[in-house]
Amino acid sequence: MPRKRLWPRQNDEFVDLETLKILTSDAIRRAEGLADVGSGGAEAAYLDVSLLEDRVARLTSPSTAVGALARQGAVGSAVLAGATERAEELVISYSAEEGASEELRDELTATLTRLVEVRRADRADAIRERFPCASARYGAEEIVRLAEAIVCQAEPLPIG
Amino acid sequence: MLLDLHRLNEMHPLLPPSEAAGYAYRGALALQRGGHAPGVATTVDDCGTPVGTTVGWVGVDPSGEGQVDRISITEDGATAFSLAFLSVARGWTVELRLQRFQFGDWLMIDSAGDYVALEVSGIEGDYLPGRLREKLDQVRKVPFCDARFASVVAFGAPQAALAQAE
Amino acid sequence: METITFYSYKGGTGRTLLVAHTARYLALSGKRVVAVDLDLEAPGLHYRLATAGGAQRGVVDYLVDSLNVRTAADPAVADYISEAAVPEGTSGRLWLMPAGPAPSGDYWKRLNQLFQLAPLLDASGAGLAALLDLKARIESDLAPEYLLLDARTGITEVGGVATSVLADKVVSLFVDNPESIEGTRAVIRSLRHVVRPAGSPSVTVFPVLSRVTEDLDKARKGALDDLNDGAADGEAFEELYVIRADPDVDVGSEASIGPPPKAPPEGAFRDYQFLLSALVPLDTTDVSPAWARHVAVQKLIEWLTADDEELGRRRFLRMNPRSFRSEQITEGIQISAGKPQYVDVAAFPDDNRTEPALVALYEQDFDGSTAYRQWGQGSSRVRCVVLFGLDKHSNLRRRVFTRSRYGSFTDRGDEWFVRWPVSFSLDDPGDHSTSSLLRAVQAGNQGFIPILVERWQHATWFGSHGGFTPDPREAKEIIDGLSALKGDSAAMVLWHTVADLADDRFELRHEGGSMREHTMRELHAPLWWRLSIEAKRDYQLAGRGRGGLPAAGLQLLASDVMGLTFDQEREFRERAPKGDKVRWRLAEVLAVFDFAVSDEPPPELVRRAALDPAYVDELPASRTGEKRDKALAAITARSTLDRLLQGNDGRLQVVTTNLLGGYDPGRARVTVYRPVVAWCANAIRVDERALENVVFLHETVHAICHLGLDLDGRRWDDFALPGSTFFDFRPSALHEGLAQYFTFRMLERLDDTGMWAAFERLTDVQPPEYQQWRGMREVPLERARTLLLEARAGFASSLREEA
Repeated sequence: MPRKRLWPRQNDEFVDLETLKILTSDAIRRAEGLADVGSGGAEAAYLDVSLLEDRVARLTSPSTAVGALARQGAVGSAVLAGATERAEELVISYSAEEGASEELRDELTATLTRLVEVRRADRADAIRERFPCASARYGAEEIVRLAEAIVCQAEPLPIG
Repeated sequence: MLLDLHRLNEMHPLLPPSEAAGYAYRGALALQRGGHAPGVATTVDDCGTPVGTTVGWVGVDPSGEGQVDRISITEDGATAFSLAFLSVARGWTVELRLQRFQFGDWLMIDSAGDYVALEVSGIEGDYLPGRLREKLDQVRKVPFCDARFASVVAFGAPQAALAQAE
Repeated sequence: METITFYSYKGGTGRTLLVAHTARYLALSGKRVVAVDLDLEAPGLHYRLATAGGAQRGVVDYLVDSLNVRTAADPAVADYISEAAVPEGTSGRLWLMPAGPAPSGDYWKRLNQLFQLAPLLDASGAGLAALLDLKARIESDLAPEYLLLDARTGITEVGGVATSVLADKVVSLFVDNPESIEGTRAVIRSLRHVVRPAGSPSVTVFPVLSRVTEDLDKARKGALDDLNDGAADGEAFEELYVIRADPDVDVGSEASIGPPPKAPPEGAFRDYQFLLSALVPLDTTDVSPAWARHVAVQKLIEWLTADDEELGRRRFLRMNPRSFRSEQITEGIQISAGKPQYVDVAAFPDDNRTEPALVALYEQDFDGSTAYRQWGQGSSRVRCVVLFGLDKHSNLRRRVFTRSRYGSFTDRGDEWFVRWPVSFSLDDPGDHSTSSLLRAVQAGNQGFIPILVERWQHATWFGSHGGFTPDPREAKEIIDGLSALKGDSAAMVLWHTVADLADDRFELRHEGGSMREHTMRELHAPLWWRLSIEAKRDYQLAGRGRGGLPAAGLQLLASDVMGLTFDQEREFRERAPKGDKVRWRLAEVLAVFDFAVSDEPPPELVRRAALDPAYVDELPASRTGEKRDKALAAITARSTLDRLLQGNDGRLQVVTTNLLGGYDPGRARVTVYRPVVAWCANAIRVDERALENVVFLHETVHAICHLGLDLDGRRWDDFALPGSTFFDFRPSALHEGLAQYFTFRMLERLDDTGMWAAFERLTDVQPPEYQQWRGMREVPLERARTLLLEARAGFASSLREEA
C-alpha cells in the first residue's frame, strides 16, 4: 500500500486515490464546519472540496457509486463555492464522459439546479434579515436576481 | 462484541486520522455524560435483530464536555459508535464522506464490496424510532448506491438502531 | 418618488453644480427633494448645497454601518442627512446626504472599509442591497418627490448601479471633445440594455452638452451627430440639451451661474430652464416665481463675487477693487437674528463663519420692504443688507442698506458697490465720505490713503481741468485730516503723495503745470512740514534705495518762500569725488542736510544749569560717563526745567535756537530737543507735535539760510549762530529775526492752525529777538528776501528798521 501523503502534490503528479479520499473527506468536514459558523472562508473551502472531488472523479469510473457520487459532489460544492460557471462546466464535462449513465446526467443537472436555488434562497434570506426595507420595497429574491445579473454582466455597465 | 472506539482509525483506514480521534473523544464524552463507564453493555437493533455489544473507550476528562457543544458530542459520538459497530459487526469500511446535499453522511463498502450510503444521528434521550424514520426518509434519496442505511444512537441506555431504507 | 442620476463620463462638465441648481429649483418650486452625493471618491456636493451645521456623516458611513453585521440596530437615515434652509412660505424641502466628512483622513479609511465589506459586483447582493435599502429608507422616512443622485465620473461600480438599477432618469453631461463624446456615447447606449428592477421601464436619458462657447445650434447639431454615430435602429437620440459656458465655472471657483462673456444676456439661465422644464415638468405656477428667485440669487452672487476693475474706476471711490470670494458666499441658509431667519445669500468674513457681514434677501416688492430692519441689532456684525429682485426685463435690481457700528441702517439705493474687505473696515461700509475715510485711515487702514489723495486732486482747482468740480473745503478737510496722522500711516502719506510717473493719475497737464507738480507742491510739501519728524525721517530713509526721493518740502521753503534753491542731489554731486563711481551712500546724502530728534539736554539748558547753584556741582567735568549721563538726564526732568526756564519773576524765558532746537552749520544738521519741547508745549498749552514742527521749521530756515543757493550759486559761507558757551547767551537778532519771519511766511502757506497757535504762543514767551516778525508782517516777501541776500553778503546786520 503506498504510503499515505498528507498533502497532494501539484497537478500533474500522481496522488493515490486513497489519499485523495481522505483529503476529500477532511475538506468536506472543514467546509461544512465553516459554513455552519457563517465564516467568509466557507466558499473558498467548498472550492477546495470541488477540486478534490473532481480529482477523485478523474480516478474513478462514472459507472461506480464512488465515481458518480464524487462527480455529484464536485458539481454541488462548486455551486456552494459561488463558482456556478465551474459547476456548469463540470456538468457538461461529466455528462459527456463515456460510461456516464442517464441517471448520472439527470442527477448532476438536478443537483446543479437545486443548489443554485438553495443558494439563491439563502442569499435572499440573508438580505431579508439584514435589509428589511429594501426587501419590502423590491423583494429579496429580486435583489438577488439583480445582483446575479450584474455579476453576469462582469462590468459596471454593459458596454463591452 | 467489543466496540473499541479508539481503534476507529484501524477499522476505517480512509477515515481521516484526526477525525477518527475526534469521534472517539466525543463518543467517550457522550457515554460518560450518560453516566457510563468503559465496558458498558449496549444493545443494537440491527435491522430487527438485537445484538449485544460492549463499548470500550479510554476515559477522558469530563471537563472536556464544557469545551464542545452538546450537539457535536451527540452526533460525533453516534458516528463513532455506528462506524465501530458496522466495522466489527458487518465488516464495513468508510470509503468517502458524503456532502449534506447528497443526503447521507458516509459512503461505505460492505463485506461483499457493494457501496452503501449511511446516515448517522444521535439522540440524548432513549426514543429511537422517530429519528430512525426521519433518517431513513433522508438516506433513501442518496443516488447511485447499492444500499442505504440509517443508524441512530441513543446515549441514555445506551442503545442503537440500524435499519435499511427500502 | 422619481430618481434622477446626474452622470458624466469625464469631469469638469458642471455636473455637481447642475445637481445643486436642480435641487434648489425643485425645493423653491414646492417639492420635497433629497440630494445624495454618490461621488464617493471625489465628493463635492456638500460644497454646493449648504446645510445647517453640515452633516458629519453621510453615504459611506451609512453603508458601512448597515453592512457591518456587528452593528446592533439598523442605522437611521436621519442621522446621516441634513436639511437645507428654504425661504419662509415655501412648501418645498431640501435634504442633503453628503458622501461623508471628506476630505478628512477618517473618510478615506471608511471608504476603503466599505469597498472591502461589499463590492457591488458581488453575487451575494449585499452591496447592491445596501444601496437599494438606502433608497428605500429615504423614500419611506422622508417621502421626497425627487431623489437626485450625483454619480461618479467614469465607469465605476457605484456609478453603474446609480445609472442603471437606481435611476428612473439619467442626465448625462459631456463637453465637446472626442474623449468625452465617445465615452458618453458608449455609456448612454449601454443604458438601454442595463439590468433593471422588475417592472421598471427603461432609463430615460437626457444627454447634455455643457460649456458651449460657440454657436449653439451648430454645437448642438454637431454633438448630436457624434452621439448618434453608428447608432442602431431605435438607439438614436432626438434631443440634445445645451448649457452655455460660464467663465466663472470654468475657473472652477464660483458657485453661481452667470452669462458667458460673448453670449447674449440670460443665455445660461435659459439653457438651464429649458433643460429643467424637460427633466422635471412642473406646473408653471410653481415654476415661474421659483425660477425667478433662483435666477435672481445667482445674479446677486455674481455681483458680490465680481472683481471688476471698471467698477472701481467709475466713481469717486477708486479703491483697489476687491470682492467676496466664492468660498465666503453661502446660498440659502438660516441665520440667527434674534430668531432664525432665512437669507437667500450670506457673505461671511474670513474670521467668522457664524455671523455674516452681508445678507441678501429676495423680495418681490423690495421698494416697499422693511425686511432689512430685523438685522439692525447693535451687537450684530451684519453691516450690509441687500434687498434684491428682478424687474420685468429680468435685470437684477438692488436696494442696499449699510449700517455703521452700533448704528442704524442707511439706504444707499443701488449706488453702493460691494468692496470686501476694504469698505467693511469703515465705520459704515456705505459711507464713503471724506470724513469716514479719514477716520478709517486714522484708525490704521492705510488702503484709503491713495483714495484720499486722488479725491484731494479732484477737489483742488487743478482737478477742474479733469472735469471735476473744485471743492476747497473738501481739499482742506483732506489735507488737515492727513496731516493729523501718526505712526506708519504718516510716512505712508508722504509716500503716496510722491509722484509716480507710471501712475496715470498724474498724467493730467495744463498750462499751469502737471498734476504731478501740483500734488508735490500743494499736498506733499505742506504735509511734509505738518507731519511728525519721524514721518519725515522715514520718508527720507525710504528714499535710500531709490537714489533719493524728491525733497519737495524743503524746496517749498527754499524756493517759494525764501527765494533760494536747495538741491540735495546737487550738493551731493558737487561734493562727490570726480571721476569716481558715485555711490549713493546714505551718509553722504544725509551729510548734505540731516535732522533728528534728541533726548539730550540742549546747550542753552546745560549753560543755565551750570550757572545755577543747585546744579553746578552736579555737572561733572568729564564729558562722558555714567555720572554725566545721570546728571544730564536730571536736567531735562520736569521740575528742573520749571526751575531753569522760568526767571525769578516766574515768567518763561524760552529761546528756540539752542534750547528747543538747534542748527549745526558744520554738520548741516537740524536737531529738535524733544524733552524741552514737550515741557514747553505743556507750559504754553499748545500741541506738542505742532510745537515740534514749528521748532523744526525755524531751525530749517537757518539751514536754508546757510545752504540755500542764490542766483549766482553762492551760499552764506560764513553763516554762524551764537553758541551757548558764553556766560550770557544772547541770540542773534539778525539770524533769529530772519528765521522767525520766514517761519511766519511758511506758516501762512501751510495754514495749519495747530502750528500757527504754537508759533504765536511761543513768541509770547520769547525775547525781543524772536518778536521782530510781528513788526514785519507787512514787509513784502521780496523785501525780506533781499534782506536775506544782503545779510548773506554781509551788508545787513539787523532787521531793526524793517521791524
